[in-house]
Amino acid sequence: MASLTTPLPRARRRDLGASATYLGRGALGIYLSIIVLLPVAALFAHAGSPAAFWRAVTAHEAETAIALTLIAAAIAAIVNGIMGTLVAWVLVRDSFRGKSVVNALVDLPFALPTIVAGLTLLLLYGGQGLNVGVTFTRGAVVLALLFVTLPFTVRAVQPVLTELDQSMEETASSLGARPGQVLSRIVLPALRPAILSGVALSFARALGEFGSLVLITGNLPNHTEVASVYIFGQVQNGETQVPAAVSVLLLLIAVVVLGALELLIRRRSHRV
Amino acid sequence: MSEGLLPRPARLGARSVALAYLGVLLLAPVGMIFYRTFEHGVSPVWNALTSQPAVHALLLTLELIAIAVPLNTVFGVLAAMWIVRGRSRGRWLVGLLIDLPFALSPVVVGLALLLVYGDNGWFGNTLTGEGVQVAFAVPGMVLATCFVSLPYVTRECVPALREIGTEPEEAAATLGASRWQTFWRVTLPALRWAVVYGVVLTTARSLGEFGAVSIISGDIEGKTQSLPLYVQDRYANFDTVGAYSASMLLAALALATLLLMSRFTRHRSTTMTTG
Amino acid sequence: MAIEIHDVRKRFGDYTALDQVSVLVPDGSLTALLGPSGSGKSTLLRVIAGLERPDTGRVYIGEQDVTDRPARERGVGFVFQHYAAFKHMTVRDNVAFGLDVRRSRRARRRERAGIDARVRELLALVRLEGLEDRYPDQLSGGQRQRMALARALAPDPSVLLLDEPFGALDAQVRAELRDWLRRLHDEIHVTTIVVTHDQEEAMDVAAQIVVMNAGRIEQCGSPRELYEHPASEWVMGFVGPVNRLQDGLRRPHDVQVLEWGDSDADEALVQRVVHLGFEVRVELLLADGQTLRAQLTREQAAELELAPGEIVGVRLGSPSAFTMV
Repeated sequence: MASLTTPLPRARRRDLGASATYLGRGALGIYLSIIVLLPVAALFAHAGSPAAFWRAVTAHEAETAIALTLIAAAIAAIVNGIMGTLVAWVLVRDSFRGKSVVNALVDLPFALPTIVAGLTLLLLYGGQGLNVGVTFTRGAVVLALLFVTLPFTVRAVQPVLTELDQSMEETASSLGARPGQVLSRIVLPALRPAILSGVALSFARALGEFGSLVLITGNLPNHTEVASVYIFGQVQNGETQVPAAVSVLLLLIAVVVLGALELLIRRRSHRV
Repeated sequence: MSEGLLPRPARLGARSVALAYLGVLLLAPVGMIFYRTFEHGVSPVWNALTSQPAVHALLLTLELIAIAVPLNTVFGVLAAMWIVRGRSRGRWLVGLLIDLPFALSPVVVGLALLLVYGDNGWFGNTLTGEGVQVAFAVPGMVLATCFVSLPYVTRECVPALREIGTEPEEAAATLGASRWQTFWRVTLPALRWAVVYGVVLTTARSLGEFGAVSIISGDIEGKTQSLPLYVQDRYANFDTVGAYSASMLLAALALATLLLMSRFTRHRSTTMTTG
Repeated sequence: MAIEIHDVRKRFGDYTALDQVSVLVPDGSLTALLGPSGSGKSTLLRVIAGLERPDTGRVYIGEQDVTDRPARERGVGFVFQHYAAFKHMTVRDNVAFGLDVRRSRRARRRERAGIDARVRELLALVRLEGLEDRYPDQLSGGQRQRMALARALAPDPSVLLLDEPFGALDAQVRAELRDWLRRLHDEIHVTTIVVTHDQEEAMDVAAQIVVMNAGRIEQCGSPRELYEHPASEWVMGFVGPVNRLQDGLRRPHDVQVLEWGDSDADEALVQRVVHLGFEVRVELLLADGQTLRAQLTREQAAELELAPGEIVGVRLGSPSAFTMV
């Protein structure tokens, strides 16, 4: 074979890459500070002294709103944890016409503006629709949160279920396990981190939900008013310390939940 | 597909329950919107959508998207690079700040921005003094939209970058490419699907933002009213046709988003996001 | 160009990957870095390439101190175990990459014909002609690795570094590419270093082998030297099969198996006879309870009519002596 006969001259270019990296990171730092860091810092700064903070979050209206938010979010997260897993199972393991359409539609609560979601729920279940008597009740809160948190568990479980090695299930079956046992002893334990992830994300999302709730719940104080609506009202009234305090509380709860999830993922990935 | 775990009746049962749940929760309400909007024909809808406030609301929303999406795309990719390839101690902070929008209610976001850029906020007076009005004006809405749609591009690019690995970049270095050339010719093209998907999500989130812009904009009709705010405003004024029409438009855009998402999801990384 | 490593140390946190490593790679040679995983061979290769910076020590390529130079300025070609192909580029663009990035856009346009000609030449060299417009995921593993080689060679590197290049391929492809790499080196005479954990591969391909273990160099020499005069017990055991008896180490083919009855032969019981086609392996049990393996030709085994349960004579000879302990 002929040897290589076309040696080509080598051009030298100054590598500005290093300075560009620091420039980029600096710009990113400024951007994040303006958009996120400063506002969140201001939130904490205005939350008041520990005493004022405590007073703000235990005021009757605030307390009821927070309690309602936490309970409704938990219910929605758990229900969608179960149903989401079921939906994920059907989307991964089953096949039927229109499955890809259904799969795409699961993301609808993400793509649809929350105010529109609220309006549609009101139209369907409210006085002009089916009139099931859910408007202006706490049930409406849970209903809206169910809508909004639907995608999280489904999308968390789907990839894990897809990757799941079916040979484990087949082995269990060949050893005599019934489908129910295979599910409870093999499949669900393997899915547990993904399900928990979905539930945690749903919960954090539901804690802060606003747009879908303003129309259908009537925002009745001490009854169907959720924390975000309460905060909104306080801001409209010109308050700063009280809404900041409740905001910080919600933020801390969400951070704890998401942080716990992060730790769980990290610990799990070391074990596997 | 292999025979499957569940016997036929169980499989059909699961399918029915799942589809019924989705139908009741998702389809029925959305179908309702389209039905109710066109209940009295197309022309009232058309008139409502082409009215001054509606057009302004739509244009304002598009303006917000046109600013927030490119910003969050560029910074999102930078942040992902820093988180995955960086070696400095500050990485965890970047990841935390990027994920923070997931832990905050939109209303809280609005409040936080108000506390910094509002009239009585930290920088409010200084800025107004310079002639820059942030709160109760479009700049504030831009900030709010950027805040809430911040994480998506980064969260798509982080697992994608991990999956690509450092070897292609090292290969490029040994072949004589500078850092910029490596990023532009090797890393970014390998990331393009993650970026595209992230941009779709960012756009959808910016489009639908309600709570944060509600607080920071003052909701001034014709001036600081985005399309979602317009929906609420029309409904509060008993203009059901106006409200439903705008909702229908937003719902149609949402369906278009779903279409894009399902088209591009194939190309995404399959590793689980660790935030 | 010759490569010289002088007193290089590299640690990752608590873990010492390279511990005072010094080695000289002659110009134009084909050298293997051989060792088990964790021996530091890949780290050493990456240090030579400039992909890792040593904590202490110097690296010389062609008598120039390149220790402080980044990878892109060292003129090295690097081939990764998993190809590191640019998946979004065609084969042609992959191979031309090293030529494209060193030129301004104008120069690229001006020299388009020359670059294309060189790409074609290289693809012909690696037997991938006609596949310029394919994408890497349309190629087989072996083809991808050949593309990676062509890509590394395009900018005319002074040194070619391959990191376990055949590790991800199946056995037959591996054997073919090994052969092919040696023939390629015969033609283009670029100083080449191949990292491998497979001693058979190292001995097949390289003229000089550097054996590494736990961050240090155990021995440096030709395949024959390493096999016949290993510097330590460890090297002897790593480079070929070995019998570890109480009084020392012996190679299976140094164990003589005879008919029982010879006066100076030890008594041994045949436990197992394995016919490996071209050779026969015999597992023996000595009177003192030690086991050992012997290696015989088909003819020798047939002559002795070996079968499990038989008693044979075994002559051991003296154990191997080492220059280092």
